[in-house]
Amino acid sequence: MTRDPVQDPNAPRIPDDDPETDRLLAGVGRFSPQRGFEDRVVGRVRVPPPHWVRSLRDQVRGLTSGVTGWTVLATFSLATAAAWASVAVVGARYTTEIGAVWSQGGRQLVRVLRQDVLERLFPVLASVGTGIGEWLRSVVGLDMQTAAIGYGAVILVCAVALRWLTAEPHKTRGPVDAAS
Amino acid sequence: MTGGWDLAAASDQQIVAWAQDGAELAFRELVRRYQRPVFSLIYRMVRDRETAEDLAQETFIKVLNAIDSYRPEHKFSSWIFKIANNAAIDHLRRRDPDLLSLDGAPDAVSADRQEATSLQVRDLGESPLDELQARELGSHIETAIARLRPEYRACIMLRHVEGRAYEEIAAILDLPLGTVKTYIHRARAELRDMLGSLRD
Repeated sequence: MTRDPVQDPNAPRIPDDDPETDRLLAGVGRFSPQRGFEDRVVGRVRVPPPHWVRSLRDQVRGLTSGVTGWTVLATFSLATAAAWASVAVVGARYTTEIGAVWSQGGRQLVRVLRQDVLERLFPVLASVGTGIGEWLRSVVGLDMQTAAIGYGAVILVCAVALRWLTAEPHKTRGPVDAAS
Repeated sequence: MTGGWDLAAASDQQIVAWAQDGAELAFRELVRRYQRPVFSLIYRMVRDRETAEDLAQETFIKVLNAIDSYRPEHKFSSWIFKIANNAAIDHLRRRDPDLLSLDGAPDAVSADRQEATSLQVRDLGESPLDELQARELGSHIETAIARLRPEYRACIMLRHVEGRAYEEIAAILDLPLGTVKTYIHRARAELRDMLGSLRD
């Protein structure tokens, strides 16, 4: 409740009961600022983005809050492993179909690409790639499907292990935090 | 393009809602609506056109940048007039430290006590004014208004130029309703006296 300490006994019940002063005050008008005032003000105001933009931004912030480098690495590793596993599963299930497509034109296309692009434009890169492939085959001694699954699994295990090893312990909300 | 909005017919609350949604046109409409009332109030308080323009600009920037914090249960006009009045009073205090006691002692709880413990503003009618200001503010009534104490001046402007209700003036100036009524009554009495002598 607002305190109202002033009760002036001389104050009239209706203060605006003096016609002469009212007439003079009625002639008091407003002034205008210099031309361009509106532009000068609006030019210095931060107009907020539309509501839907702010809403979208809040949602993205909510999704990404707490994201660390290791989270990104773990996600990337999981996605890579999933991709490799999918390729391996699809390859194993549809070997005949893929082989048919491959024999009908895929092999030809790859040969053309290799000869016209890789071997002409990037001979060094092509030879390095071939060397790595041969080395991998000689060392691992596995077919490509198994190697791909193993590669994905290793990445996933490494990422999870790193995330677990580097995760900060959960903070307990103590009385000082709660008070603030 | 207003997207089907009728800016001129919309209420302040509706315009503010559009501004909160990021519509620059709504910001412009708020400036258009209030630039003259805000500038006039400040100009009559500080009596310097350039300063008044700077303070009015500051007022708008402060209000519009904080538009998200505006709550529709309050009147937008009260909010912007309050910030404008505070800007003018702060400027007067910075310019003349004697005006620190303009509102009277902090413990003054009545108009009489506030008046007794505050300093009178110097006679602004004797200040050199440039030609434009002399023309604008030089009429008898403007001279008389300029001689009022700043809080009386603000009350008179809000009541008689802006047509605000006593309750709204009390909210704008953070004063009890009775104090506002008393200030207006005394301001009108002073104006009557001054105008009588000025006409003579």
